[in-house]
Amino acid sequence: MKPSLRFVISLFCVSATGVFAQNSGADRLAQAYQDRILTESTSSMKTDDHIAMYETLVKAQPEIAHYQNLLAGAYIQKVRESMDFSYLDRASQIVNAVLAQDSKDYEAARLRTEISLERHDFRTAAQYSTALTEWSPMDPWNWGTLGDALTELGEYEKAADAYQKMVSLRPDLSSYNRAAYFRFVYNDPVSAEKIMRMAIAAGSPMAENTAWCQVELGKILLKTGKLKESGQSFQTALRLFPNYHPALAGMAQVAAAQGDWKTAITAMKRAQAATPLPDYAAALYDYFTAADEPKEAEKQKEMIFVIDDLGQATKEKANRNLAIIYADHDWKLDRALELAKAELDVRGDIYTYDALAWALYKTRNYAAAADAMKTAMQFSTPEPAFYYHAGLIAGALGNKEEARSLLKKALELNPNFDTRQALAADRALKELS
Amino acid sequence: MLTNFRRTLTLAVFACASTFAASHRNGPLLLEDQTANLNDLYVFRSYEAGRGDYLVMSMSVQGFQNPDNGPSYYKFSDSVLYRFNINNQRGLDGNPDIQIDFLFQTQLRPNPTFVSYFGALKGIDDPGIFLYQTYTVAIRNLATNTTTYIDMDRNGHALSVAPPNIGPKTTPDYEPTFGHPSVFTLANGIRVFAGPRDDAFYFDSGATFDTLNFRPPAPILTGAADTNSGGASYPSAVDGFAGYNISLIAVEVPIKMLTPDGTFPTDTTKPNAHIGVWASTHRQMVTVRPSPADPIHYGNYVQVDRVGNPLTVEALIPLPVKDFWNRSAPAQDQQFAQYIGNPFFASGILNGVFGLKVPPAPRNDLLGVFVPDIMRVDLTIPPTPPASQNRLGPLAGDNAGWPFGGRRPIDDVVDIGLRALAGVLVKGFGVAPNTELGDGVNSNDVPLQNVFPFHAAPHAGYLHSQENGTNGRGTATQ
Repeated sequence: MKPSLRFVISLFCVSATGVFAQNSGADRLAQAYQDRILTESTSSMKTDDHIAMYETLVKAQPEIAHYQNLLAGAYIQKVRESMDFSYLDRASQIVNAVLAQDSKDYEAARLRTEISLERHDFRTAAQYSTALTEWSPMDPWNWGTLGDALTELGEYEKAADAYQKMVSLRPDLSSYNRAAYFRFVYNDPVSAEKIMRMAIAAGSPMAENTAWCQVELGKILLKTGKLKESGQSFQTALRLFPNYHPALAGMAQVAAAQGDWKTAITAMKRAQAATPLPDYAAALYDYFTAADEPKEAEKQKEMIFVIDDLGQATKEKANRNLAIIYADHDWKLDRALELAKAELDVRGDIYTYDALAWALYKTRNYAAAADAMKTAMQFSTPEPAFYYHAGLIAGALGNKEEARSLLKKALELNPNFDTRQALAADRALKELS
Repeated sequence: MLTNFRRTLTLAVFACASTFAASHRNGPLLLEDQTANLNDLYVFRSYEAGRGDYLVMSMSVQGFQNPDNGPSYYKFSDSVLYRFNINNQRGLDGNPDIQIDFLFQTQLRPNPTFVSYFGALKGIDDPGIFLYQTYTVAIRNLATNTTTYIDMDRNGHALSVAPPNIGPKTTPDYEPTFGHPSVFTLANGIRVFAGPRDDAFYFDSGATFDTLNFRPPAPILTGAADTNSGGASYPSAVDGFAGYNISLIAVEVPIKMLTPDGTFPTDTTKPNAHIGVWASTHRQMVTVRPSPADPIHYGNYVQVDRVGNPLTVEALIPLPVKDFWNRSAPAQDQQFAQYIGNPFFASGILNGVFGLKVPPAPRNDLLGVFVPDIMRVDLTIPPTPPASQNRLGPLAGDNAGWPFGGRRPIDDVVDIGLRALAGVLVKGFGVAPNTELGDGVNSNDVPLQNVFPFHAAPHAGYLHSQENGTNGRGTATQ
């Protein structure tokens, strides 16, 4: 790949500054200019260009930890974009090496927290973040990672405090999108939408970051039944960051909600080609089934089973996504329960409790399912699937009135919230009536 | 069949790891925040013919814009409040007395294309400007606690942002058709402009960062090399900012509106003769938890960046406290005096590397300019006509330049800064070679304008080229 001139210029500026910094010790001018020039001149570079530049810098001056950290940061960004976890291993190796040299390297310590989050080691991430908030309480980043870890652990009140601290220190894309998420979880989708739009307007030098928020906005809109606006939001994300798999998946969901199976299949296959998540395979199974293409559907089902077999071979215990997929389709229900229960060892957020409740319901543990669902619904989060699950559980326990009301609410939020489950919700509601 | 199975297997292996990231909410964490980043602040008495009684303030944001970066180019952020702060009392203590805010709104007009601007645009109201931005100006008098909001000019035209200079087909005759018409006169006599411009900052950044590998005759400039039009040209000196655009917000205000007693100052010893200005960007805070009483409660604006004098944060404020600096107010700048009063660049580089004799710490000459970090303007200093302006400002007898008369686009803040750091304003240190320091770039890549908003028109995307290695230096703007 031929590097762009911008890349060369940036490389020149940064290399030159690096030499400067090295020769003159703690040269503030060079450091500060490095920061300004580097940021501004690399702002529209692609992540691969960033990686190429930082790899060159690291090779040229391996003794400068700052370059190592920049490279690790670029690798983590690459994970975000591609979900290729080999980049996370590379980032982790770098960060560990930097911290082995200097345990007080602040940049590396921050990255270590991010790596823990990516690895779902939320307790460790919370510990690291707490230590970093004491180390540098004015840095919004640390409050952000603390809030992220606490959210996954289900400690929402503490997470809200951390996020509030973050947004008070610096309102920007990263703090706004977290505030928006929290508003949604706390059943305030109107504000969630507004704040997510503020995050998008704030923007980021990394196109993927803005596209990510645009996808999140699309999801909020989709869950609350604003189909057209949702589609526009996913489309905008794709314009910002072409071939972005969550945006493609969003487009597919919008098409599926309109019964346009051809478009849904095309978009979801593109998402799957970019990143073969089991969720995408499950969606394709549903689309192919709806489009009366059972052979294609079967292939997708096989892929899901292969993913699970490989997960078991690598001793993967927790996987709430697979648990939901199995429960949704009445496949391997015992395994679904096993996966959902194991997820509780890792985290305790409302989505994990929902997966557990759903797997318990499908395995006929209705009372336990109701308990788990109560935790999942503690904030009345406007997730149509939550209301659907809660409705069926209530029905199984004989609470018909409650079941009706919950199922109605699920379909009010979005009558097409899921290809299979929305139909099932409608059927169940009719049966109850 | 085997191939398909293998492919499935490969994908599945990949998916195992991917499941992790897919099932937790990995919201982005920003390393930098481009839309709210301020680059430079300019404040000066207008030298446009007949307008010497006005003060011009302009801030540049989003530096290093590639002129050809379509299809959307660069826009002001709707979620950022861009603010000029004016301090005119209490001996310029770094607290604002007047604030002039710019708030932008983006309108996406019906667009049948994938680009944001299409066709031969005929003017600033052309419907082919699909990405149409307007703004509201809010003028706040903090002494009287009154705010005036203005969103149209005196003829009722919306305050619209100038479109980018795309090229001769889309934006023909850019400056007369789009640039100048985007200067609006408000009912109260204030003029405003917002839009793309050439970056007026000039600096041989490449040579400086190459371990101070200045291109001769820099860093010692004498004779012709030290004049406005002197200095070596490419390749002997390279303006690292040449050919790039910035987004500029500019306002021209009658000076009487900016003094505490509403008069035009004539005596430099009187308190109303001096004002201090700084620019800042702000975003609105939000409350994370929904409140039953006020479900959509948005909090106050929080400052995310500020700029006063050139080079303060770059040359004087160390990185670990940079964010803290950006969030703090100039009135609290005494806490940074430890860095400013003993700049490493002076002792470590100028003295340590080049062996120059520089004043010892504490550098009260620098503290006087940088603490608090506001751009000071002596309003009694008459503007220097363009033909007589000197890039070295007061160091060459042209007191209307930085740091006495504010900062004009022509001012060579790098050379002035280098010499000031070397102590030329301190008795006994205003001697060669301290008085001859410079980076070798003595002028902007394109001619500045002598009318508001003074920055040159933006480089056109169509004409932009980096192929000759000059970063587009010399590209015509019109």
